[in-house]
Amino acid sequence: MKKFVLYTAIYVSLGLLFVAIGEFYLWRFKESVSIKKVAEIQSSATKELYYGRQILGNSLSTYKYEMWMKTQPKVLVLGQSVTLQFRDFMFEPYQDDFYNAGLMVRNLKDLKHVLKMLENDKVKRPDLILLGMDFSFVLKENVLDDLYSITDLPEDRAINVQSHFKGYQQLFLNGSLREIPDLNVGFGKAGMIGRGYRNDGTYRHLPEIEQYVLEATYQDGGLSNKLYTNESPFLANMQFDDEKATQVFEILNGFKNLGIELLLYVPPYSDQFYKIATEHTGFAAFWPEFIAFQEGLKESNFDVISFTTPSQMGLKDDYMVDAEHPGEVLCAIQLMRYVKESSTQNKMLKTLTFSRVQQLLDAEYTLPISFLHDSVSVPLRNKIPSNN
Amino acid sequence: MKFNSVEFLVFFVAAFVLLWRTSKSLSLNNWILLIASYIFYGWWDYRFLFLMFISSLVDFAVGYYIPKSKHKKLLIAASLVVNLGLLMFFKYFNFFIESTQDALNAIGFASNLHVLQIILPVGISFYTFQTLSYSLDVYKGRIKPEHNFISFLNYVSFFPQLVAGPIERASSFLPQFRKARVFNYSQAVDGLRLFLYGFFKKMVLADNIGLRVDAIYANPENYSTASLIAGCMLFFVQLYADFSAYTDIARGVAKILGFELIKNFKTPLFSKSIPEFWARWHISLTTWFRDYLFIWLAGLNRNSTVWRIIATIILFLVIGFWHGANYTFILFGLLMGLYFIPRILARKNKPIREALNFLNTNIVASKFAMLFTYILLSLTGVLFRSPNISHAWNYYGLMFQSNTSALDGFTLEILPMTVLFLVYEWFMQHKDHPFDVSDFAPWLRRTLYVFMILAILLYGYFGKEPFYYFQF
Repeated sequence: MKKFVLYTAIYVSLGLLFVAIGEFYLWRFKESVSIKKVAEIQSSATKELYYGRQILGNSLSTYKYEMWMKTQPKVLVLGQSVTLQFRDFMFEPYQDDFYNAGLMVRNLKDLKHVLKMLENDKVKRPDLILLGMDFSFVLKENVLDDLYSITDLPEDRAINVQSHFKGYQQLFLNGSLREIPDLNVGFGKAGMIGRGYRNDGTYRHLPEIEQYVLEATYQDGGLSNKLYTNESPFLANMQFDDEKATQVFEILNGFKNLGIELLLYVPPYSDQFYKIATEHTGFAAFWPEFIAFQEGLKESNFDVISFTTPSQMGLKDDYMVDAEHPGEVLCAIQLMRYVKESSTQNKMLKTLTFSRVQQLLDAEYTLPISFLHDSVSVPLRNKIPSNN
Repeated sequence: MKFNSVEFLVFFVAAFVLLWRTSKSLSLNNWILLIASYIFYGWWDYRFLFLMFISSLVDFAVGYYIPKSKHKKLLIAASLVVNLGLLMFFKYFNFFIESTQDALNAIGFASNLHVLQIILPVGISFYTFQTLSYSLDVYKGRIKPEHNFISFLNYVSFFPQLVAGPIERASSFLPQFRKARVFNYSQAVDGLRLFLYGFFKKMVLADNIGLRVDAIYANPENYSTASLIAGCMLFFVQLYADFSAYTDIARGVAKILGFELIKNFKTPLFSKSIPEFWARWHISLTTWFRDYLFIWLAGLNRNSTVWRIIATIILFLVIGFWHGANYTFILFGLLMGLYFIPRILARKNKPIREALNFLNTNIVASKFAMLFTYILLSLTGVLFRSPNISHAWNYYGLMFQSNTSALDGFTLEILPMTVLFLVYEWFMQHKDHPFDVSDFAPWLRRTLYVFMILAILLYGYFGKEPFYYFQF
């Protein structure tokens, strides 16, 4: 028996060594810090921190939900990835009572759930919600409808054994993943170098910004290819869903009834992409109905930042991170113009000062894609070529 | 509890220590084993422990009273009703309701029969057959009844083979609970080898191949003919690697704890005919049906070839249906039964017998027979893998379209690994089991162990994929 146990132990130790090395790297990259812990630290941090797990995965809905619970802000941003550039300082003087929960709500089911939580006082009601109103909410066939969401939060991968083993495999098979980064400003391999979710919930697009600093060219990000190949959501038979549209109205009225002020944001497309999209059979049939839906929202006295493209604002596609994601500068300009130029009755919006935004817009280092405002972005300012 | 989970590893280490610590007291040892088995099963859903207990209790009582009773038939009928009743209700109830509804609708009767939300208890197809075989054997006088209830409960619930077999027979398995177990180094090492090889097959081969096959079967219209053919051919490798992995782990765990389970596979993918395949695949199930159904059925008209064909088709329809309440399995079983016709005809037809003999023995022809059998199996396997008949039909249609574009990258990636596995099994097919490396040089043996462990750690799928046969 002893001999058997001893021999077995020798082989088991091989596995344990594998686990130990893997765990060391996960610990070193702060990938294994649980979301609860990350949320606890980020929600009370006074310095910039980023959350971006490159090896274990972000368990994003869970992370955003946990952060929302921790912050329970006056100004809350909801929606898909297109809302992730609305930053705290854009909502001055409420910058310290702000959270961008972009990507927490992925579909109507999620949005309804948030409404129910607010109705039942399970969480503090925000005074203002900026809701990213992209077309996925009213699209008949929407892959996002099947996603894990806040009604069924995915398990935090930092506390999931299987995810750890998958992480070890990546670490052992991909040498570049084991390289220790120069920076240490966050949680996770990506977060450590400042690629990930900031304390206010917004996302820092690091490679895109770095590339723009060097080349100053607009990148499509592969969205046009989706059009060409009829890949979801740009199916050949894209259909507007009237039933979903009715539900959207009901939910929005539900928020209003709770005394929450709403600002709806219909995200822009780059000019280059929009031009191609209007020639796509499915998109061309769907889009007028979506725009009519947007107009319907306005007629129902909702505050709506309408669909646009950079050129309609006198800007270029450089202000987009890619074809569908507006950059932070563009978001700031859109928000500021809307508040200043519209006759909104929204009390919260009327009190926004935009002094910091104006300061940053005037700064010489501000690029169309980024304010280069974060402390980790400061070194990038020196890399901007003189002709950029 | 799944074998491929951390919970199981912890549970098994605890069970190993406790069981060997108490091995001198058989009674205590059997109690601990029983508790361990019930924890193992209850981990999945404790509510169904009651079902297993009821099934065990009924057959223990039936077995106990049969020798003394004048109403033997009544008792055995009670066992059949309870066990098959449980199986019918949990596994087939909704199927029968839906089929009845379809039939009524087809002849113009509008009906609205309600299906029930029934969870299929894991392993029910296995343990009901195991406990039923005990009663049938006692009834036939093949074995004497067990008088120790704990031993009998252990026989039904023995955790390594509880969920997906092999389906043990009381004659060989029950006696193992009656004698004190003594640790045997060679047996334990062999068990560990099976354990390791099982995990390798499950995590490195079956799950990785499964990811590809699942993707192809989920959206066959997105794949080229080449990928669809690859998906069809790879499925039986996945199924074999998956199911035989479970058996290997079960046998390995049993050996480490001092038990012996029967062999369930004899490298079936190298069979030269479908009848040979069924003699080498899921042996514990096919022999069960042979002993308790086919011998009786065929014996009703022993001399008629036509009746033997009918009996074989009935046998395989039942085997197909055992796999699941779905027309795909029934059709799969029907085809398997039909593939037996040449062999049945050969019993009384010399030219056919000689032709089959030639295919079996000729060195070149036998390889073609092997390839042909595998292709036939894989093509029929589309039915086994598809969720319904129309999906299978669609898959066949797409597979035989003229779109012959290249294999997708992921499928190409797993092909070398699959071929390597089959080559390895080919060379090891005459061993007691494919990882019986006891006669290898120590350095080679140890290198193989390290290779297996590293392969599992680096390439194993750590996604908690359940064993394929759990659904049956």
